[in-house]
Amino acid sequence: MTGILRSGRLSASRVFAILVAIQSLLIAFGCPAESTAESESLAAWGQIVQVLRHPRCLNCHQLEQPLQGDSRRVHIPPVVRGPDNLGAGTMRCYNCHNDRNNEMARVPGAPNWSLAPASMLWEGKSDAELCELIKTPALYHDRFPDALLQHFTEDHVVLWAWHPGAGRAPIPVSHDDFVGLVKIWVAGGLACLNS
Amino acid sequence: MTSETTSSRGSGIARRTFLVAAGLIGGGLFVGAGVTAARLATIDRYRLPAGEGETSFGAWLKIARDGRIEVAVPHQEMGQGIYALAALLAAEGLRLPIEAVRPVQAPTNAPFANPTMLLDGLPFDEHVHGPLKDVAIWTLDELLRAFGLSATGGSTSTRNIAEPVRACCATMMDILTRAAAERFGVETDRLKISAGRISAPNGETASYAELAPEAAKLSPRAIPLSRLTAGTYVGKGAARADVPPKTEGGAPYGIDVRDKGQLYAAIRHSPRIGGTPAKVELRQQTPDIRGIVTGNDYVAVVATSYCKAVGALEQADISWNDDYALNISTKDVFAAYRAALDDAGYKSHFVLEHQGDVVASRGRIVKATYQAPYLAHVTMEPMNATALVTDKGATIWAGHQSSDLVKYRVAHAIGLSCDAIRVVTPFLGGGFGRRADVDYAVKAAEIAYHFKGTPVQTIWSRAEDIRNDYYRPAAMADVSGTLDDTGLPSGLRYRIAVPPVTDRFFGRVFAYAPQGWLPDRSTVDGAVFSFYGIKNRIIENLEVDLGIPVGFWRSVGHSLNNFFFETFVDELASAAAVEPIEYRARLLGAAGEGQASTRAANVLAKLAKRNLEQPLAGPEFGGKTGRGVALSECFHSFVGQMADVEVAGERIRVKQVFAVVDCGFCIDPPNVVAQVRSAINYGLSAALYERIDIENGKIVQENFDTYPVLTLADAPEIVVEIANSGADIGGVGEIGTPGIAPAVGNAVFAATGRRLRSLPLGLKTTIAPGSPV
Amino acid sequence: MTTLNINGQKCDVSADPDSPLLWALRDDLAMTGTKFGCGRAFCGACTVHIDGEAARSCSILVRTAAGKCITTIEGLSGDVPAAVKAAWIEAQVPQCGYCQPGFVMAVTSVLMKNRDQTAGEVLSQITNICRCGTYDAIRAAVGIALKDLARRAQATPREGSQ
Repeated sequence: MTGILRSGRLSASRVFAILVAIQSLLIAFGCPAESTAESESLAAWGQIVQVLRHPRCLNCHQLEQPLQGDSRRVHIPPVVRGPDNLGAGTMRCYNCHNDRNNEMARVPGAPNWSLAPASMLWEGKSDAELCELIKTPALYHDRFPDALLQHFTEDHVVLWAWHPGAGRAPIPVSHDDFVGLVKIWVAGGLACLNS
Repeated sequence: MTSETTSSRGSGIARRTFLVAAGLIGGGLFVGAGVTAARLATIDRYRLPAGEGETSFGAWLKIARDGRIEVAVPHQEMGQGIYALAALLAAEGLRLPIEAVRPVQAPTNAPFANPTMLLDGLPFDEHVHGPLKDVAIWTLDELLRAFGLSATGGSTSTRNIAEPVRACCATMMDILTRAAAERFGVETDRLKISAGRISAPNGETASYAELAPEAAKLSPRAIPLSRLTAGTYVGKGAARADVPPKTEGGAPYGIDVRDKGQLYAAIRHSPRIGGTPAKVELRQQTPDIRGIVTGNDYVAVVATSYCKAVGALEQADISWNDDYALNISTKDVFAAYRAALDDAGYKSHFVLEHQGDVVASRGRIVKATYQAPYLAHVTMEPMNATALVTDKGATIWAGHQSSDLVKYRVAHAIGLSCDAIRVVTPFLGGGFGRRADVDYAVKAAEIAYHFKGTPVQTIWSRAEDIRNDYYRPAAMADVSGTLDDTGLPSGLRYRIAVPPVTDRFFGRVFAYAPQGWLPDRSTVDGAVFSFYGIKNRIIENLEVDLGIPVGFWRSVGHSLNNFFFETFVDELASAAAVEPIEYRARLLGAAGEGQASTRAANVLAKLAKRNLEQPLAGPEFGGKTGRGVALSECFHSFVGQMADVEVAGERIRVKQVFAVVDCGFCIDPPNVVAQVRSAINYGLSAALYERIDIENGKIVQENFDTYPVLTLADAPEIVVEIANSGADIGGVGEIGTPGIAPAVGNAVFAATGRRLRSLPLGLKTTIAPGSPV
Repeated sequence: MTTLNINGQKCDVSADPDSPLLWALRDDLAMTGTKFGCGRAFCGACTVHIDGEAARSCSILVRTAAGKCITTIEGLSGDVPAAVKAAWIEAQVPQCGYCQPGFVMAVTSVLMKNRDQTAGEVLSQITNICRCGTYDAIRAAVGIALKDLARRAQATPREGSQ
């Protein structure tokens, strides 16, 4: 291919047309290459959802009260979402949580520590429901899927899950591997099981 | 054989106990007479030290340089209000406004004593009097006064100081009036006393301070005391002087001591009970980290701040030798209890009460087994102490419950004489019995010993505090009653398996304290010598000790036995198909006339009245509502409690508690109400939430997440009615604690039909409802 | 060295910026009114105000508090704190008293934000722990403080009404 391109005898648009033709033939004959990407996407989702259900994520993707610890008990002292996801009354998140972990107090921390928005409620959803929710474009203000990847690579509260402080199990998959899984999932068409 | 001594069935142990006790008393009489002769009425001869411009009157009162009166208090202020009460009594007795009096901690090298507390613990029936008991009490009283063991506990502080302080006030007023009479040249009965001044008819007047130098030359006379009655403050109360500084953050606690150049130590105890430090190595070597100390069962890092000490402790390389550590778990404890209860020949066994013939009682049998867990104290101020040790002596700053014990144990630990130990006592951020054990002071002294000349404050983290407590013991009890054809119990058998707490406490205090000689009456407090008229009864304890550290928790044995016993009374009522209040009234009626049953009946009548006037309200949370009652006699006071609960799902909500208190006479009624509320909330917290579990010798719980306690959101409204009988002053600080657990448990039964026989109360662990055996 | 603004004063503390504010207050500055109860933000005994909000100083790091306005129990002033403290004394709330500075800080922060609340609304925001069980007296004190503040509001013109 490249040889042909270097010789200049085939233009880029010609190359593209050939690729499309090949793709069409492959689709027509149900070539495994296409379903590989989809099944890889599904397999990736199977691993992604385990991360999403890990206490480090699920504890804050709650409706009204965050959970604490690997035992996932209700947050002590009692706190609630409040009008802006940052707590209510005297129990605003930032009244105790810093922008980093406090090891002496065993209080986790990251910039913008808060409950996940109620639109990102994961508790009580099946794998399929969670899958549909995650890939709802409206959640990402039309910057889907870039915003999804951004959430996983740049949001401090997410990155925290890999360095949660002593006494809390970090996400068992490395961050790089996790990002890779998300990319595979996106690339393969955001596959979800229908159940 | 009278009912004062133990078993009339002549079991070997009981007779031996009697002989030992008689021998002790006989020997004690001999020793006591000698010691008493040498130091007769020591405290009565003691005079508070007075500096320049000060005048002291006896052991209790002093006119300070600023003209205010200081009253010496040999008890520690842990919230019970004893400092305020002492000031109130002094103000009343000296006819001064309360602001003119300030309470101060009594000097530690003075023979103040608290015989009341130890006498309360003797294995005698409170309601029976006889020569043997009187002699025993007199001897112990004299010995304690001679040796001067002061302590705060057993709800005894007020009872302990009321008479001596009042007597001292009377003597002081007498001296001052005589001095004024001399100065003004008039008869004492023509003098007027008002607002701290004594005036003659012609208008000449002098303040107490002005009269003091002349008064000091007169010899004091004992003035007969009138019976305590209502006065300016007595019977009404007075604002507590410690309330404003405690509100504004200015009240000092042990942990607030800040001496020049002070260092801080973070301590870590062996994770397993009985473990000792093996390898200990500091990893952080900065100028702020001053060293690491290895103790018997702990390691401590000393640094220029607590924070830095904690950090270095976390990073230190520490390993423990578990060769002699405990390996048991809570389930082993309860299994051992069950085995002991089932063992008819169990050796470590005392019969604390035996009336009539239980075996001969015939009728329908009601049987139940009850159990309760270990409990931690969890004072809001974690354990801590500050120590400054030199070659010549030591100063200890700490909240504690006995300055004598601090002195004695610290002296013993660091090899100094008791007289070389100075104890400074600030406010306590909670005592509840935990601070009666002075291990935190001893360890602080041991640590400071390695930094002689520098004060070192050792702070226990909350986890160290909870995991190295002296717990309210777990216990299991088999109770059975035989109902006669009127539905009342003609026979009762009460067997509790529990460690001997008092023995263990004294074993920690005095290395040679005898263990197992005398029955530990505290383990059956709340069951024994009950005011109910149960003709044939036997109350026994089986001492089972697996080595878990145990100590005194608010209301001590009452916290176990009142739950077991009052729940059982409710089960009897249920078996007899009689309403619980009515059933208790019948039980009291069967007891006949006697001060205890009369006082209990009066309290019960108030519960009955309230029950009619304020019927149980309907559900607020879609659950089932119920009301339950419990009676208790605790430290000579009688309390009746009525709890209204709503049970929704598995959640027990206590909506309101009504408590009737007969504490004989209230010197400060508002404070009595506050103390009863406090004790009820403390007991309720345990009843609903608290438990300490042990796993392979390690305490599981560590902070308020794993050891939840009662919060504002779930605390009920508590209404307290005082209904005094005019009996002698009874204890106040702990008396609210025992009855709340059975009242709530009985309320849950009324609401749901489910009988809860173990603590903490939980609907998941209920024994399935069924008819009694 | 970190400079902290405490009760209107600039204070330099040598505490590690990643250590809790509580120990900078108690040990560096010997300000012992703020208490250590659990060290893990469960109990509220360590409550201070940071920019007017009740914060748990055993959890807030020195670096987080730097540059903000910190008020401790020793530095409370103004009509809301005065009313709360007077109410606490009238209701004789403290017993052992160790937890009470934290309660006073929590209650004043609620009322300083909004004094037009019912006692129930105020109390529902207080999660501090008291082992002496002074909760009945605390409820009474909150009621007294609200009445006092309402009375002051009627007696004196509100700010800016001239």
